[in-house]
Amino acid sequence: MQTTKTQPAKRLPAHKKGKGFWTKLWSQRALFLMLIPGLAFYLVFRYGPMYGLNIAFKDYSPFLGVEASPWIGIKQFERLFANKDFWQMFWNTLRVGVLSLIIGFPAPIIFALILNEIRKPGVKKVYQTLSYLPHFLSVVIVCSIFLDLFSVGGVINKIVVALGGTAINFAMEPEWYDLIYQSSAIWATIGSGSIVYLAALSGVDQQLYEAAEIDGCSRLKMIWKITLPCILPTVVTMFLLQVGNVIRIAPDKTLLLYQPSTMNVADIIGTYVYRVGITMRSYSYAAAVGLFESVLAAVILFITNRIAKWKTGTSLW
Amino acid sequence: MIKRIFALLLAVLMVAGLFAGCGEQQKPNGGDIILPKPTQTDASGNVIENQKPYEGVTITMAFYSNYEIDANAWLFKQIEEATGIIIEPICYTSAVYFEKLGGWIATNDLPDLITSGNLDKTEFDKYGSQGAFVNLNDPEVLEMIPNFKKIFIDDPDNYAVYSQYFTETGAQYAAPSYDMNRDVNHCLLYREDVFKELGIEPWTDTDSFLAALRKLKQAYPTSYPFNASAWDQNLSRMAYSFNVNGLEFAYDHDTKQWYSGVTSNDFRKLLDLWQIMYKEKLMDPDVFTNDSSTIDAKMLTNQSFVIQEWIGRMAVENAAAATDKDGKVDDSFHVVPGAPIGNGKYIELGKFSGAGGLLVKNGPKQNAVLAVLDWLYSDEGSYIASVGVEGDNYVKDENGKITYPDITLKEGEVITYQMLTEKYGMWLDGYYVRTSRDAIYYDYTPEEKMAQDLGAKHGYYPGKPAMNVPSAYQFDWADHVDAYTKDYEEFVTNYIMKGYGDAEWNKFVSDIQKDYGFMFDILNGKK
Repeated sequence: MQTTKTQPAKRLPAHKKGKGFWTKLWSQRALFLMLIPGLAFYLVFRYGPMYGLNIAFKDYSPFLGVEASPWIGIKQFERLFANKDFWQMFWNTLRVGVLSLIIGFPAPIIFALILNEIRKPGVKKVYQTLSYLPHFLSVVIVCSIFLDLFSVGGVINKIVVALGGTAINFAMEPEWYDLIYQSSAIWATIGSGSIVYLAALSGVDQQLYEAAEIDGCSRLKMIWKITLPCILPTVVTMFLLQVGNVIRIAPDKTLLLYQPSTMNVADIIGTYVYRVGITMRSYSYAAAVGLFESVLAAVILFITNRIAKWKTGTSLW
Repeated sequence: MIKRIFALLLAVLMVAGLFAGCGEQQKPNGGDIILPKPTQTDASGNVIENQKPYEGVTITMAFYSNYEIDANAWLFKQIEEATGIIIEPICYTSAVYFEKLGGWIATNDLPDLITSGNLDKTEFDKYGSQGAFVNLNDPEVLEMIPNFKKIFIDDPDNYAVYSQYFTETGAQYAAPSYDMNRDVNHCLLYREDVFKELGIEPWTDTDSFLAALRKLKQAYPTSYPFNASAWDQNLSRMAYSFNVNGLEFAYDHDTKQWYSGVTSNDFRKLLDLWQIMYKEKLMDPDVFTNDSSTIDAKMLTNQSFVIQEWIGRMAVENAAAATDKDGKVDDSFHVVPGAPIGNGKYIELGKFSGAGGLLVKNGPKQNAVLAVLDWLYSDEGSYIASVGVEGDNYVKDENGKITYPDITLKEGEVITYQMLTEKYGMWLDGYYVRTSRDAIYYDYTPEEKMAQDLGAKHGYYPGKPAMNVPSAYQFDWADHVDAYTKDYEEFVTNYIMKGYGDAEWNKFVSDIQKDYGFMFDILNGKK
């Protein structure tokens, strides 16, 4: 009868005996070393500047410096909330952000799904390239094109008049503002935005489609039952990333599109900060408004992330 | 092991790279305080006044320009010759300059001499009081800038205006441009050739103005006879002809009170005119979004015939018509200035405004900078910076006409001050603080001369004095002005476009009084 010799357990070096933090750190030191640049980046360029947030509570002047500038408590926040137009601007920001989410977010997904259904690769590439081109235009050019298109003498009005209607001053009428804003945004970003979904679509197992085809599934049903569920994690991730920006809308586009008669629906917190905080160099005020926006965006992101995790199992963390 | 060492090296290098960019930059203006060289004596023991006490000192001078102006620019060599000071220019386009200005302030890293650009008076007054800029009213400083002092302090008339801009503590940080305004710089312009073709007499008042527009519309039904770019600014300029010298803040010289220009009945008369023009399609419906190039295009293509614009547009449009795309010369096209409507007066342009100008950095080189500043205000400096040096960059003919032989002109082209900027660095934006009347800027084209003559004939409606907001109210003053501007601009555009009447007007006047009346109480010292 053969006896199996059991190998005596190797003795671990003294520093590997315990399972403590420092032991683990040492055992994975190469990985942690590689982590240092990333950590340093975040510490220096992301967390470090947070120190500067204290100017939101000061009457900051660059010529006095952060330390010497006097503390004024929450006066900058009171100033913001006391502004008679604040809630109007807040509502406008939310409306533009939510509309961008509702209309602007699904547009590249739908476009990617349509492109995915085109069987001729040449045609598909032409559409993809053409849709991607506006991405290279600056926002100034995009807005100029749309203001021209929607001007009284523009193409849209020429069509309206040709169809027997009366020319409309789209750019000056508040009720048309969202149409111009959202349509220009979709036109400029639909191509570039669809790339990530096309990449996700290329990873869907083709055998699933073949099996569905044998079962007599229609193309539309295949999209609904196979394609969308397969790219759902990507969709959810992109959605969560965009949700964080609902309240933080870059002011450049609004600055180019709004007119005095549309200010009531177009003026957002970002443009207000630009006008009063940036051009008037009221740094403390701009910091206070930025802090307010960031806190609100973080809250929205946390809530949405929790809901996404609960409903789809996918989340950012 | 080698991999680990490699990883370690890589990590160290990347961290070092990250921090390398964070080191404090050496400020170009750093260094010890530069003092004037001690006075010297000649062989006989007589004191020789040092004419160039800052010889060899380099100062940075920031400005905006459409041209790339470098350290070799002719003007800078003249400054060096006169003062011994070497100019290191910092030149950007205007949009970039305004951004850079924000950056210099935010980082407390100012050039030695800057043009205030879009820096508001309340801002540079605040930063000046914190030590950023030199107080030009300091007696010791005034001693160093005798030419500046002669103009603004010693002349009682000038001092009366200049002193309006002083801070509550009596400081003044901006060195203003002096006496360089033309008498008429913006006014109504019209296509004289079309008026003649249709037998329309140039207007003499508001009624005949409207009648002329109606005749033009009748002859060119698809046109919009009246047009303007930058509608808010041009509406504001036209308001002077309706006894309103400011839209947000107007000043009544009789009662010596500030009031809201946009709520005055005089301003409503102008709004009614714009409303009629809009309603009858006498005014371009795109007037709120037009820029100067679209205005030019519409004037050149018979889509518009009358504009409220800068008088320089006449030369631009007349020249453009003279060289159309087929190379044919259109001699008939002719834009000329028109008479003012309303009260029949043009805008009165003041000799200067202390609300902006050149700012001297408070630092080790400030004395050298002040020497350059004072040279720009001197008879010699102002002449060289705006006209040049005879025999060097210009020649005079027997009639006294100045020409610049180094500048090649195309056929039909006339010399402009922008050409002098491009070629010699003269007429730098913000730096023509004093100019000679011999300069080509005042060598009017026949049409511009007509505008000046019309000004002399019709007279001017007075502008407003310096508006000083007490420091106690400056914290959120910009917020109120922003909200006020938004409210009235929205109302004005709707009044014109939607045909508002008495009910909307009365509500607007009441709302403005309720929401912003306190601002006028502050300005009028009632708070």
